[in-house]
Amino acid sequence: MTDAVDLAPSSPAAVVTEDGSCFHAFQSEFDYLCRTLRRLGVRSEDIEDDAQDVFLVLRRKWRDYDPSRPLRPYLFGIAFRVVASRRRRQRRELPLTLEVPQGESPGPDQALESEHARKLVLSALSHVPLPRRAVLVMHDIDEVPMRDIAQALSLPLFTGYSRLRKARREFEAAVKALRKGEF
Amino acid sequence: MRQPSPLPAELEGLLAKERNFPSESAELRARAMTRARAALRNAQGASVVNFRQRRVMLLVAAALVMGFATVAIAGFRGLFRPSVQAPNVLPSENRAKMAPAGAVDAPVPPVLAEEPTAKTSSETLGTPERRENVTVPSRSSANAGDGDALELGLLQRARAAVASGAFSNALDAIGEHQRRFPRGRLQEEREALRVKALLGLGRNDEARRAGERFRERFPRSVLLPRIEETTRPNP
Repeated sequence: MTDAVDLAPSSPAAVVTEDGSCFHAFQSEFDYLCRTLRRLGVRSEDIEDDAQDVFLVLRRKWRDYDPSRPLRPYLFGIAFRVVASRRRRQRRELPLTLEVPQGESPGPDQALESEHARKLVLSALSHVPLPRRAVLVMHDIDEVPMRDIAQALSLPLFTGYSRLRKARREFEAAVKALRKGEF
Repeated sequence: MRQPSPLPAELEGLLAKERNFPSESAELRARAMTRARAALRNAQGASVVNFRQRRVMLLVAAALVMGFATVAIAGFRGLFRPSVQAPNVLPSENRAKMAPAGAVDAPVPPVLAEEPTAKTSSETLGTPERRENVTVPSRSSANAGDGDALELGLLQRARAAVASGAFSNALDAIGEHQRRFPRGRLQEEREALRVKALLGLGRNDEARRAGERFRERFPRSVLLPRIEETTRPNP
């Protein structure tokens, strides 16, 4: 990718510059994007395709992005819409059937314990409906302020808070049920 | 507005562990970056063609306006001097002056011609990426954003159809994508889906031929190894 060059927006070389900056952003945040897709319930075999779809939308909307603002909420908003769009086409969403060991977490092995915890979180998230799940992930995992969440997901602030409260109750209930082996 | 209560400590602990997530595999990252670069290259090719198309259309439009103006003026003058015959073509030297250097001898793409009709056979690949006399996409830069959304929506439809086993529907979406976006950003993905759909329908010979054409068009595609693996004839 070529370096940034100060040219008129409509010239072919300026398009290459936007390509470069957009690609660089995609490359830098690729792990975050894929993790976001997993948190939104995308299966492993679909991660690559959905990431590509997000990139294409990101490129199309790159001029709308204000670089003075953090990229992750903007990227999350696009990922959410891509996943929601595909769900509407498939008309079904199945909770992730991750193998979550029941009962207490494993012994003192910290890495194993962390992996167990992450699997539990992903599985519990899949039991929260997607629109509420998105708010929960952005607020309680990504620690994004609600005002920025509302902008990224095009929600009224009140709706954002309402979804968060309900999502937390659903998430907590799912964690308890998964630990008991009820799912 | 009532702010949400703090999370219970146990849940907060769980979510904190999820914040510290592992990286994706190097293979997945490499494939994703390659596909992204390919999409940008495809789009740049379409942008360059559109840029040329717009320039040629402007030249053609200018020539037509000049021609009509000349005929109109000559006709107007003819009302007063009926014995003078009005030229109905531009002198060649004027045409040369209007066109930029080199453009007079350059082949003019048939920009107003219809796009080549895609064969109904689902095994036919789209038009090659580089041809001198191809027709060009009809979308202008003004509505390129809408075109991208449409293109993506079509491909998502095809992908969802393949995922759910509706391979005939997938081929319909693939055919529509090929007709509307013969040189779109997603050609590579489209042709890979075509192979999958044909295999799903048991049309193995067609799938194999589509795979061969995929290899010719996209020899460095990250999707190629999988396509070759699935279309390899059984020993």
